Amino acid sequence: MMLWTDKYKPKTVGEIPQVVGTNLVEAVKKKKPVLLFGPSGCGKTSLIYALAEELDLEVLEVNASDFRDKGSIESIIGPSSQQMSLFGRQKIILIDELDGVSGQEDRGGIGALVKAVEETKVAMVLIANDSFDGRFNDLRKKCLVLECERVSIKALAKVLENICIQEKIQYDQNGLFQVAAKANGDIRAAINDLQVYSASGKLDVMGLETRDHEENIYNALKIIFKVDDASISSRVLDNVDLDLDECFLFLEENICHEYKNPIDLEKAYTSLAKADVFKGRIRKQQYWRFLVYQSSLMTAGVSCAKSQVYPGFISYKRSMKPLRIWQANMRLQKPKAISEKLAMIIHRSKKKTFKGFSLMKPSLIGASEELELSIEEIEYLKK
Amino acid sequence: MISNLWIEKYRPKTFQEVKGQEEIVKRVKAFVESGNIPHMLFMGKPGIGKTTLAGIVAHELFGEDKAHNFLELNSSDERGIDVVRMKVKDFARTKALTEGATKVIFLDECDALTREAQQALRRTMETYASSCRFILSCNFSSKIIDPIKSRCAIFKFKPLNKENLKELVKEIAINEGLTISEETADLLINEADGDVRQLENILQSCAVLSKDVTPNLIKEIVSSAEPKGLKEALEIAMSGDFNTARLKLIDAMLNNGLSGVDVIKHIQKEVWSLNIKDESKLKLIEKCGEVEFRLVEGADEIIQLESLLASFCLLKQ
Repeated sequence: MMLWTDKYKPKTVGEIPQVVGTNLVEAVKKKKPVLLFGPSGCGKTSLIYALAEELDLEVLEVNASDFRDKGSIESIIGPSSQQMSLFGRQKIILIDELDGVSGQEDRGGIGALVKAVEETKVAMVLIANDSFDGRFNDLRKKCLVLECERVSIKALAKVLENICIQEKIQYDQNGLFQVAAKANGDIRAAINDLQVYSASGKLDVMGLETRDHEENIYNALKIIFKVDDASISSRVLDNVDLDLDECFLFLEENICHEYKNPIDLEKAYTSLAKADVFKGRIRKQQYWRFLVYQSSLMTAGVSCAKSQVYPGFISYKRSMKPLRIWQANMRLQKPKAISEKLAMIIHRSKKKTFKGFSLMKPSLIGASEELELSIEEIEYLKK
Repeated sequence: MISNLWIEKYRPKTFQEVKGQEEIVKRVKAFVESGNIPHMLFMGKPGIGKTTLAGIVAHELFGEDKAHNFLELNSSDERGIDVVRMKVKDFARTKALTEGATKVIFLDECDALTREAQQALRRTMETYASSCRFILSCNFSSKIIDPIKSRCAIFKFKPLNKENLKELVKEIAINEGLTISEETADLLINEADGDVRQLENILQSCAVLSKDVTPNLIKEIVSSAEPKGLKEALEIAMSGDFNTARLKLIDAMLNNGLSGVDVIKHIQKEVWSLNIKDESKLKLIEKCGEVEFRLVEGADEIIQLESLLASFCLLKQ
């Protein structure tokens, strides 16, 4: 059986319920790069494919399943963005699921994309859920930024009705509207639900549950910081599509911007530190039940720490910690390398030699020969 | 070749040159002269001659053949069980090239060996005793398991006394053409806290700047080697500006290459000199202890330190 989401993919731009600005069509024709964003399932990818069909473009797609580090981006996109297609057809490069470019495995990926966007000779569209993600700052500047809005319930119901007619499903307007409302603007989710709840040939919405929607972390933070009810805040991270460790970093970075009173601040950090202790226990014992306590302390613990709800909204930031750690490691590379050489000569462990390094530093230039220091290392000592 | 690093240049080369450990030197020397040494455990504070004596033993036993018959391993760097099973065992199981001699393995800073590694060591020490003897060194005997201690002749190194250290300072001063007054020497010895390595390092770093060593110069060198920024971070936290304090603390830790426990040690020392009620000091000390415990258990260094720092913020009230 075919998934209806594939079967009823829009073939033309006209089939897409949202009004597509002429901007997009213009930009693609003029080969100006576009950053298209919007919530998941609102039809961003389908829109581009439909557009490509209409304009007779060949689509080169790169999505989250592909490696997207610097090298891969350059080798995949680089050549194609500079050449014409073999058969004379024009090309469009589609970078989908931009949010999924991972900081770890896809190192340098965003940077390479920025470069590709600058240099491209063919049409290029980048798709993301959250255009305000700090990583996309440079891309935003280089691209035409367009928003794909959530589909209205009415428009969505219309799409569903069309499918029901073609599939010869018995339906009533009430049922269609319920499915549409539950999907919250996500066409893909709505069509999937429709297929599930009309498996018997008749649309039966009994037992249709609200779909869990991925909260983004910024909303989650807002709930933790602003809501005064532990029963709400304690569950908020369950729906965030982000590793718990990353949520941890977000909390750690933003508590001190939100909570002004030192007492609240202390309570919140104490709670977070306790959550960290449970995290360590999970790791050590591989006993995942502890996750309940870690997550409660992170959410409700931090949320309840406040003596009042602080007025005003601040824009929450991504944690600088990983960057700082990396920078410090780079800075310490030379003293560490010198310590290693030194340790051999003075019969001491590398660790202890490095600890005593700053005391010995002035004396080391005189011993650069026996330590076999490189020119850069000598330069470092002179500073 | 004579080293330009004073800790090497002035490292004693013979039994006679070793300062302050007369009893131990006498007994070890007797073993060496008989050509048959037992397993030995050297215990004592840093910088009082454990590594030096082990080196002399090897030199006296093997002379030119030292490279083939003597293995020096630093346990802080190679602390796992694999090292004992591979490197130590491989070296120990073959006979010495020199007729009638036994090889020697020197395991320095043994406190850092994991318990598993120590367990693996005890059989090795027995099985290969005919071909190889061990010299172990450690700061704290409590970190060495009993079965190992029972297999070794134990030597407790005494801290060097003031006369020994003054003699050393004088010797270096004459050799290097330094002027250093009696009081300055006292200060230097005080700063070094009985650690010869520390003493020689301070002195050499001073000498790079000036041949005329003054108390101020010594203080300058010592304080310049202290990790910077930690005290400031505490002060900023106590003034109530948590965010600045926290960034300062993280920077101080990362840029000085300190571990979380290093940072706690500094903070805990600093607490006593703060201008706050004794009761509050005790609370902070308790918190330090709790955080240090968590770090030893493997908690995240930065988040735990942040929670400690937040307690300093409370002092503003």
